[in-house]
Amino acid sequence: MSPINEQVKKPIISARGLFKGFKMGSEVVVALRNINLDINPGEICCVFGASGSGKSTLLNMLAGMDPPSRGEVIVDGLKITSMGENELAAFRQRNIGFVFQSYNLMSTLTAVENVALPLTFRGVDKRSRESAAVSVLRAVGLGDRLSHYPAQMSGGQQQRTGIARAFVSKPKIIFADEPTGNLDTRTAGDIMRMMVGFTRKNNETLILVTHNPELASCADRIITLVDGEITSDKQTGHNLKEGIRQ
Amino acid sequence: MRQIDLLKMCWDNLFRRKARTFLSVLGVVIGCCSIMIMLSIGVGMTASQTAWIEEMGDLTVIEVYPMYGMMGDTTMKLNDSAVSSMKALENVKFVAPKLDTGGIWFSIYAGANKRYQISYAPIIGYDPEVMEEMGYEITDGVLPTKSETALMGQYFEYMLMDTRRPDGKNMIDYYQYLYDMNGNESDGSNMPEPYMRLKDKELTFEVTDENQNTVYSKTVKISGKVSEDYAKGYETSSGLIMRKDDLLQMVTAATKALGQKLVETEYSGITVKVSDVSLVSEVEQQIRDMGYQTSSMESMRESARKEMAVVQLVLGGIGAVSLFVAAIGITNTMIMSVSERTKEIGIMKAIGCYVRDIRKVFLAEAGFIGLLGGVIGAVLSFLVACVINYISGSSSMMGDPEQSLYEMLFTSSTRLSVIPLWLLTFGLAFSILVGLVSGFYPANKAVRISALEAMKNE
Repeated sequence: MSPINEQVKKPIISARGLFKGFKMGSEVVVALRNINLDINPGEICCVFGASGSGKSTLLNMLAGMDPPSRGEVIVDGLKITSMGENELAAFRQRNIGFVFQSYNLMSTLTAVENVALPLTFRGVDKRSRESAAVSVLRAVGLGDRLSHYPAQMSGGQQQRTGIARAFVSKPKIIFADEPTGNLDTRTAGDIMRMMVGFTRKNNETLILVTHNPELASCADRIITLVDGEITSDKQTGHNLKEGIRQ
Repeated sequence: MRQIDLLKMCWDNLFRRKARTFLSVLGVVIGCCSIMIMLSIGVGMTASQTAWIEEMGDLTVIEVYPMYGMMGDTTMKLNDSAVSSMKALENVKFVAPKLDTGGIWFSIYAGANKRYQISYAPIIGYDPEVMEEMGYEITDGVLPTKSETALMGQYFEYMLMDTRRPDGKNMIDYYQYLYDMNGNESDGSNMPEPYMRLKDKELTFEVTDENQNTVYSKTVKISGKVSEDYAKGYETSSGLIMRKDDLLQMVTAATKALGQKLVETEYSGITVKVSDVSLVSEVEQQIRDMGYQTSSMESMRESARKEMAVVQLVLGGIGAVSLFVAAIGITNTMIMSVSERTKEIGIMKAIGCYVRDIRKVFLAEAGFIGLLGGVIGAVLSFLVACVINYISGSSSMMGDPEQSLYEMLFTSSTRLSVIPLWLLTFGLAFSILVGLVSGFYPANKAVRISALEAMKNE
């Protein structure tokens, strides 16, 4: 790569020689083997594969939640694989948003409080964090559900709250692990479009794990994993089209 | 995370498990109460004992006695050189030797033609200058500061025997008037009039030889009356106190008149007044090291204090057991809550909560259980102490029947249960500490939970 090229396309995430093995009794099960990956800023990237292919393990590793057995992950110039717990927590606060399959909202908190939680951990005062939460909730179409508890909302509404929580702190990267896995097809489509739209608008990076080919096709780039190895990595051209449209 | 958000989170968690929180708090309340009430009874016992000892005498005073050898001989004499060596000690305010009449027997007469006679009364030579500071209470008249004057004991006048009355009816038995029917000390209003009031009257001291010839005679004027105090000596009841030098002169003259040999002046006791209570034991030890016997209220109090410390330790230990049980209860509650909230903790970590904040949340929850239990426990202990004091105060024979309810509950020295401020603070601080310590293990357990827990799907 030429220096100019590197400056333009400096990857936000780089994985080098990732290897992960689990001990199951006396046998070692290999979940990931020799993964090398670069993800560019602004990319919407889908990790696609059947269950057990290691796609979730890869996502956790890229997000610094699960250390690899070998290899390193560099996010935005920081080597997260050698960070301690506290550094990782600070890193997550600044750079990462999470969308979970089972929403993972706090049952004792209202929608606003749930969305504001990442800002609470950062030490933002109540007024500013709640006004930020309210504006994101309005953007996901939950302006009328602000003080509802998770149990009072439908799955789609809960996931929209989850998305609001992931985006409220304006992170550089959003990780989503099967974000529509618990939703019906129509809602799933809405949720997916919403995530893609937010990511594009804020010029963020989205890394998404799914086994649903229809959802995968919304991404700019699809990385297919089979038995812990990347078997294909192709561009769909969506981002190029977006670029043309603009 | 901000403190306020942390506290709110911990409050929400405690509040959503009301029953469990209530039971854990109850455990601490019982533990805190039992330790505080047990200790308060110990404190109460110590306080009433101290009050009792203080009532008996001055705490800064050391009484020095001569040391007797195996054969009954005096090995360490209380003579003038002993007085000056005690005066030389540091932190001694004054040294007051007490002189008695030794081997000389003075008969005392009063009234016209020696009508009234006292065959024996203890006569003491002392330093009138220090009597006020020593706590001698003059009820009538003045101190015997002038020469040839003497102070009489409270009931000295009842020692008078009327020589014109028949045997058996010639004295007033004043003892029967000292106590009322219930055995309580009477106020003295019903005391009979003595045969003669002696204030400002002259007494004649006489010494006779073996042939009943009067060989020495001296008149002394009574300057006043002192209140009875057995801690100071029998002379305050039925004897006379005069200037030491006066008495020495009289004894010397009488000894000469009897044709006996003069011996070195020996005192029956020496009173050493120390400048401060805290220095008493130090000075007392120095005097003992000289070879004298001593006694002081402080040394009595010291041994009482040691005894009480053991009692308090035992009582406090009993209380501590229940607080320990409460601590186990808190730990159990918190462990339960950590395992219940595993996923929640994982999510918190995944979305960027610091490890230290997670630890703080759990420690704060445990500490709050301790605090709440401690506050309720302290209030309850206070009420229980009042009830104990009310019951013991109103049923006790010792208690003053005229004391007000306030005195009975809060100020009387005979209270059974005393909660001073330090005990209140201690109970509260100890409960919070127990909470924090109990929360330590569960908090560490919570901290070790991985962020990956958030990724698990039910």
